[in-house]
Amino acid sequence: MPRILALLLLAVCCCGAALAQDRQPVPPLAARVTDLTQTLTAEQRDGLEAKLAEFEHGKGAQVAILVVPTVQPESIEEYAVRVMETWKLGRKDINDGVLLAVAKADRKLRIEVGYGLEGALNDATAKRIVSDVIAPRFKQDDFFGGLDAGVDAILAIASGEALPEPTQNDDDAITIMLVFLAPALLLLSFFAGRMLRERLGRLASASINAGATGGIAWIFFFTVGMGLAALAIAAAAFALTWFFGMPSARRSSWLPAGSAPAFDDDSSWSRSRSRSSDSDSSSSDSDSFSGGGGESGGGGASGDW
Amino acid sequence: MHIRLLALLALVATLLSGCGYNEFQSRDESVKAAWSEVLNQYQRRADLVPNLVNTVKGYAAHEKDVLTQVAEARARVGSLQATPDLLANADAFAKFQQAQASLSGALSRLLVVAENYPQLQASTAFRDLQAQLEGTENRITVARNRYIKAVEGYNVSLRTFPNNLTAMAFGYQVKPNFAVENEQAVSTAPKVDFGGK
Repeated sequence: MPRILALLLLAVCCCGAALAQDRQPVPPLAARVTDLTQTLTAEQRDGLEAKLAEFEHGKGAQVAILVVPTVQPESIEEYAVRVMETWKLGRKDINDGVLLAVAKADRKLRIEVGYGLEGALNDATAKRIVSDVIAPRFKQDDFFGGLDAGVDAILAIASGEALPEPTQNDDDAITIMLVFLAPALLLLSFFAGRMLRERLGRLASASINAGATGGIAWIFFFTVGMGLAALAIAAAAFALTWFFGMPSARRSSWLPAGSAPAFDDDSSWSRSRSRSSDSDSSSSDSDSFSGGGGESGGGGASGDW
Repeated sequence: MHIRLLALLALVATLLSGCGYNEFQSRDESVKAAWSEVLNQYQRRADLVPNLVNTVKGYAAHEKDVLTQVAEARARVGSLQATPDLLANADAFAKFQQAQASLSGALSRLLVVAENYPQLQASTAFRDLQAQLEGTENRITVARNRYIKAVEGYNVSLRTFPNNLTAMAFGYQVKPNFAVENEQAVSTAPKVDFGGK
């Protein structure tokens, strides 16, 4: 308590000169577990990361671990708030982020809880995790054991908070649309384009077909936030009718191979699209981890060992 | 005629936003929001006090002085009408700060006294309350820091050209910020060593 008051005073005193002070930098957020002290082995880190990633996929909440050598001259509380302000753990407006920060040389740790999880992971619970679960293991220099048990406890309690479902099924919807819907739509539009072409001119039939196909695609794709994809489909429909609209269409030989999808090569086209969307989603899942825009306001608990 | 009027209105609107009128409005709102958060967290602390006092009383009833001090400080804080309008009144603002600081001091003395009672320290109720109090104190610190930053942004934009002309025209004033003097009461709390600063 006196420590906190001292910090309060220090914080107020320093506020004017805060920018001039040499505060510890906030490391960039690249993974769920950031260990600047080489305390954890690669396997241990991967294990923790996998656990946290699985939790985020199931529950939506983002939990991250940061181990730094020291937070001097700041307190662990101030540093943790600064890290949370930079990393923005948790989803935007749901604020379901948790940061487990450890300052190894200072022998201090803190669980900083986002606004959205303060109900289940309240201060008293966070304090118990810090002093009953993590600190005893840290005391015996069992850092991985402490972090692992602490993460287990945090996840168990955070799963008791009623949170909105994670929106990962959006990704599935996008994949389904790209793999199945888009080729089907283009196939339909190809035949529609032929019928139009028999009655109308080249430009008119291609334009009408592009407009109709794009409009239908828009209705589907707009719901998953991919309105632009509808534009691409409209363009493809235009090209299909323009180049391949006539039943005895001369294949335009000047068209570079592979630049426009040929209708009878439909399967290879959908395969390449699905492959690209696969690689997109996997890169966003594992390679880089970023905060979702959550906020915290100093909730949680600190402790030492 | 209508077109001229519209053009004039558009011109005035452009001039106003160019002179920072809109900036003042948005910054003013963020200062208000930050201040509400400060009040919110102070209120949270005040709500914790009765429980804390009762718990300590159960184990250390004869520590009347400290318990009374906390109760009195809590009552003083409660008697002040902590409305957002407090910001407009420098005297009331200072008074409010003083009352909160005296509650901070009394609470820290209570916790120091509580350290002499192992049974109290061991009780779950007290540990939970202490964790909540610590968390709330930290929330107050964060809220105050965010308020300080919001006010800083407002005041800087108010003092810089050309916004200062707009401020003059509309009579906007510099907003009060937390001053170190208010914290002197806190520094008298026991066991706080500032290393001769």
